[in-house]
Amino acid sequence: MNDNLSEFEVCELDSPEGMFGVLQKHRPQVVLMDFTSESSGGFLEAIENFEQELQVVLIIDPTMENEVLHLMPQRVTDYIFRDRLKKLPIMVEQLLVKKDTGGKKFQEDTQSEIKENQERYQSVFENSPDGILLTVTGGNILAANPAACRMFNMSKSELFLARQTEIYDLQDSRLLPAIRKREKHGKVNARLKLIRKGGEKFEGEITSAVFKTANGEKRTSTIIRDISEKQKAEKELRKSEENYRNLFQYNPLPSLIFDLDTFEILQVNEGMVNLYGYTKEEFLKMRIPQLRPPEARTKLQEELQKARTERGQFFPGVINHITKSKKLIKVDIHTHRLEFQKRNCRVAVLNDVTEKEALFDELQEKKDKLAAAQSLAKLGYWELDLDTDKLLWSEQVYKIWEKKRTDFTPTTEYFVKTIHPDFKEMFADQTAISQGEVIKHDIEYKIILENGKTKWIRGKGSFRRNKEGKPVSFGGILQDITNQKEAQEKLRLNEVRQRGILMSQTNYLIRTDLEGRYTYCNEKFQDDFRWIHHDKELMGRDALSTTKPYHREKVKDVFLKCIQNPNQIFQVEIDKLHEKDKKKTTLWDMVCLTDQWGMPVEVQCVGIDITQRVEAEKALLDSNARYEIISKATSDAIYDWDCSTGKMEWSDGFKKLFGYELDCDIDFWLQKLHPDEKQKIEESLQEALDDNFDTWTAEYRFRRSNGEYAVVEERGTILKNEQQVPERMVGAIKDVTEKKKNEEKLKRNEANLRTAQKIAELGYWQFHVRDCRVFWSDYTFKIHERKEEEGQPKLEETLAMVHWEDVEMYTQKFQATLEEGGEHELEHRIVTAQGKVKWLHHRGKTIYDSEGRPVRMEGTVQDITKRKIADLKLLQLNKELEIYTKELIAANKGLEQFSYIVSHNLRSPVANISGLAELIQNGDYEQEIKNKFLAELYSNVKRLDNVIIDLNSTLKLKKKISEKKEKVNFEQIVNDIKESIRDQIQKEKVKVETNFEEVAEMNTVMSYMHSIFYNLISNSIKYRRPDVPPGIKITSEKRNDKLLLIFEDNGLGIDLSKKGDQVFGLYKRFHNHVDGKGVGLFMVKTQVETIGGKISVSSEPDKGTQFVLQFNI
Amino acid sequence: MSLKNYVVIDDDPTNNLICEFVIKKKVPGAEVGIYNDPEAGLSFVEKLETSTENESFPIVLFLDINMPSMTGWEFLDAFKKIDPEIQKRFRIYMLSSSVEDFSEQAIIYPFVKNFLSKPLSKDHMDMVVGNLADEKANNRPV
Repeated sequence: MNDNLSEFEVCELDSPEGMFGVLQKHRPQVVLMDFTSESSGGFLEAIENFEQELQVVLIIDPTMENEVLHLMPQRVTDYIFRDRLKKLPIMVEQLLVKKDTGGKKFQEDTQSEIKENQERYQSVFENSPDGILLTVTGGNILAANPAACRMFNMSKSELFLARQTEIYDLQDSRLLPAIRKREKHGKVNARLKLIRKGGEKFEGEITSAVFKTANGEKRTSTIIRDISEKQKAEKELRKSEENYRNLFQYNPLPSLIFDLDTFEILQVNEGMVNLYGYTKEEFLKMRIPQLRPPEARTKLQEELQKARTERGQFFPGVINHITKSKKLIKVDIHTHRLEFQKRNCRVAVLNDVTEKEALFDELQEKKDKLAAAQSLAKLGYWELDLDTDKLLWSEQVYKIWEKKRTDFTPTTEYFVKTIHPDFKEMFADQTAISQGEVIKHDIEYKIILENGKTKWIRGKGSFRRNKEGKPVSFGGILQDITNQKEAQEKLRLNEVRQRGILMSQTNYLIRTDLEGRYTYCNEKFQDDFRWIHHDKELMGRDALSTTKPYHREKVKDVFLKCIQNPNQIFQVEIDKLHEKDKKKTTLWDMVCLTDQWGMPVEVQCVGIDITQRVEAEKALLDSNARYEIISKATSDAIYDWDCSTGKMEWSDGFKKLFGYELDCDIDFWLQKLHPDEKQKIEESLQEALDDNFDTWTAEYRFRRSNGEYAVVEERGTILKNEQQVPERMVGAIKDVTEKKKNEEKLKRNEANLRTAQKIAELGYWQFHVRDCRVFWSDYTFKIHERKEEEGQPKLEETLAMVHWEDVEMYTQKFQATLEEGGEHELEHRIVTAQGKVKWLHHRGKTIYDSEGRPVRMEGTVQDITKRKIADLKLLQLNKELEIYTKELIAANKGLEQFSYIVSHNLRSPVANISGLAELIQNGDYEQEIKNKFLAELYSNVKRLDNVIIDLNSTLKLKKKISEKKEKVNFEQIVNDIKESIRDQIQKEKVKVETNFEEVAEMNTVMSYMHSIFYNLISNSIKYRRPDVPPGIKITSEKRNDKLLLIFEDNGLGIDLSKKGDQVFGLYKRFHNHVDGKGVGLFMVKTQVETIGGKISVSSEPDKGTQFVLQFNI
Repeated sequence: MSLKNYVVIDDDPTNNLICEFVIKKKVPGAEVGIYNDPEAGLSFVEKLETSTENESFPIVLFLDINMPSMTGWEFLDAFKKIDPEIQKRFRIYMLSSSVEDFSEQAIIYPFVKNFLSKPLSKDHMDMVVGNLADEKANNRPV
């Protein structure tokens, strides 16, 4: 700071440009400036813009005093006249002292505080994200922070030199009011357009305040926030809010917003007002529960709790509501969570489905009635025999699996294979089923057929048990529910699609620009109208392109009106193009949306396809017209009788019915009554008139013009004057002659029928398609042993009486006749009301109306139980015959084997004997050779004898079917056998090892068991290995309720791969060196099987043989 | 190994004995090979292959059908697989105690000359020898 008065510099400057540099270099306290009006403005401005405050003293001509006074005190401190400069030093001194004394004191007191503030201020100033400018009020920029530099894209020095006019947009209409406001209040907040270097304009939020320096000079601080980005976002927000509001407000579906904490209603749209009858104001005072009928409010608590906890979308479904007028309505509600007025809310869209639901209920009732019949219709039956593992399918099951009974036998494996992978797990535990652990099942699953088709099946199954309660079979019913499933799936899909307003499949939502070109179309609209353009593109296309030509003018008019009256809804019905030259009638709400300045921006249209509604309306009109025609054409004779004059006016029907002209009066009418009834009818009418009746009805005979009598029914209304005196009577006469005749006929017929039925023991029945009503004649009742007091049965009841095994066939035939027409005939069983099983012969056929629709089925039933029983007996006999035949065939096979034995085993010794005899007889051999022949002869005779003995024992064995059973001890048998062949055992050093610890004995035929053991033991000895002493090991074992006897030896063994199938055949031998006869194992097998066992063999050549005998315990 | 122009294969020793005497009675000095074991018989037939004797005199083979370790049919199946040159030398007659009809097997084994019923008789041998003579006269197998 220059304290010394003597320090000064003189600068000569021609232009203001150099001023800044000079000031910065010398930092003077006082500037003396030669002032001329033309040149000095720029210098003054430069001084003002300098960051430091300066005292400016102008040296002027006295003539300019006024001009300079005008600059004081803001820009100029003082002045001195050019011709009185002597005063100048004193003046400067005064200026410096004034500043000094004030400044010094201030400095002393608060030097540190200033420093601190200075620092704080500096830090804020430097780091603020907002631009800060310090200016001489209305003048040059004195200081700017980095943010301001960035904002204006200028350096500090550029900013200092910039005029305010360069950074503010002078065309901004808000500028002037802002400046005025600041002048008035010293402060202003405003949004103004600002200009960056390069000319780009941006929106700034400006806080500008004027303050005075210590010297009382005015300064301005301006804080600028660049809000161009923010504003863009705000604009978007406003627009989307606008869109949303429009959507909410103009949505034809009633919508509301409610608070989730208090359930107060916060906003409703026009739709709500229309549906409920409350005004908007009333709504806003209500809470959600008030929309519910009182009795439903308890459950509401639960639902609202859910609305509170669920996130996002929540569909409470169809709910009962009451309107202001207490009318009950049903609404389908979709809600979505949102924040509204800073509260936790849900927006709910309600769809009035009252009528739809009513229709649906009615439909449901009808469906239920039919369901019983239909559900039975496609049932299949299956059964799995747990013993044989045989699977039985009914015809329907074959149909479901698309197999033919003739060339396909179902197996469990096949069934399991067809189950869809997703459901395999459900069936995984097949063993649980086969072991009877599953009690019953009722499941739905999918199958895949070989042709790739998938089907849905519902299956129910349970065990059938024998008398001991042991499960013998697992069986049940199956049903193809693919159609139902698919329908359900479709329904579910449709519902999903229906959700959401925008994606609505019933509402169209489009927006167009002001030229009427599409800017947005929702999916529904796209789906319905995209086809019009070959490229399937609607965006940017003229909206008229989807409109029928004859409606285009109308649409144009409405569209124009709409734009001229923004924010107002216009409704218009438009026929739109539809494929195949048809039209789609649509109803639209159009509204022109505006921006924040109220200028039209776009047109939003919400539309709905009302083609069906319009068609329905037309159909209604048609039917009304038809009704009128019908009523005109009614054949009844309608009259209007003036009681005082006796005159009558007749409709055309009178002439048509009876052949008279229309001017007949009451006397004429009386004349034509049947003489037998005339008096009675006249009296009755008089009575009605006298006794003040309102109506009169009668049935009587009336003579036609051709002399015949018609039977008529008359109904009249008596009209009276104020004194209650009858004045006129209006009514109709109906010719019921035919009806009466028919009734008579029917009565006679019924009587005849009844007689006929009794004679033929035939029952008659009817089934009415329209209402599923069943009619039984009295004999049908009798056959079913149903009491007539119980009334006509329902369809379900009749089906329930059909024997369960016949139900499938029965319903199938019934259904087929109903669907395909024709007649059916079947024999089936019923279980009567008294529980008796009867066989019925059932016939039925379908009766159609004139348009070919089935009206009813009717037919007869006949009790054929007696005949059936006889038939069944015959069938039983046939079956038995079949069994006998099978046995005979088996016996014959045995015989064949016998004949083979005879041909070979008997024949070969015989052939040998014959050959030897020939040689002995015709040859002249030596004695030695002859002796050899004789020996051979003898041996062959012996062989022949042995064969005969063997055969005899085999035949004996086959003959004995049963012998006495006794406890047979295995150890005992082995000991007996060892004893009987003791010599052989000793000679061959046979070792017989036994272990019968597990099972010691069994209940069986002793002689057989003995023979089995004997044959197996001797077999082992016979076929021993020559180099090893024979060893036999016999053990008993118990395994899974089976008794096993195991014979093991260390003998020659048999090559089973070659001869496996022949081991147990008669006269089969496998070794040439041993004198076997090939009878032993055949005998063993026969005997084992005779006592109910099985035998199997395993063997390896040169290792040994093992026989395993298996018996049931 | 001596030359054999008659071979009998049968597990029944009595039959073999009868055959030997009946053959020798018809054809004195005939060399008769007797095999109780069909396997041994087959091995003999197969070994002819390696024999140095190339003289192609025919060999008459009497073959039993019912044998425990190898049936006559199994023998024929094996026979079909040996060297055709050797096959050509055999005139096979099936000799069985059965009185069955063998027409089916005759189709399967067309090279079998005939099916004879036991015991082998003089009449049988007349036919066998007659066939051989015819063959010689026509200079080709009949």
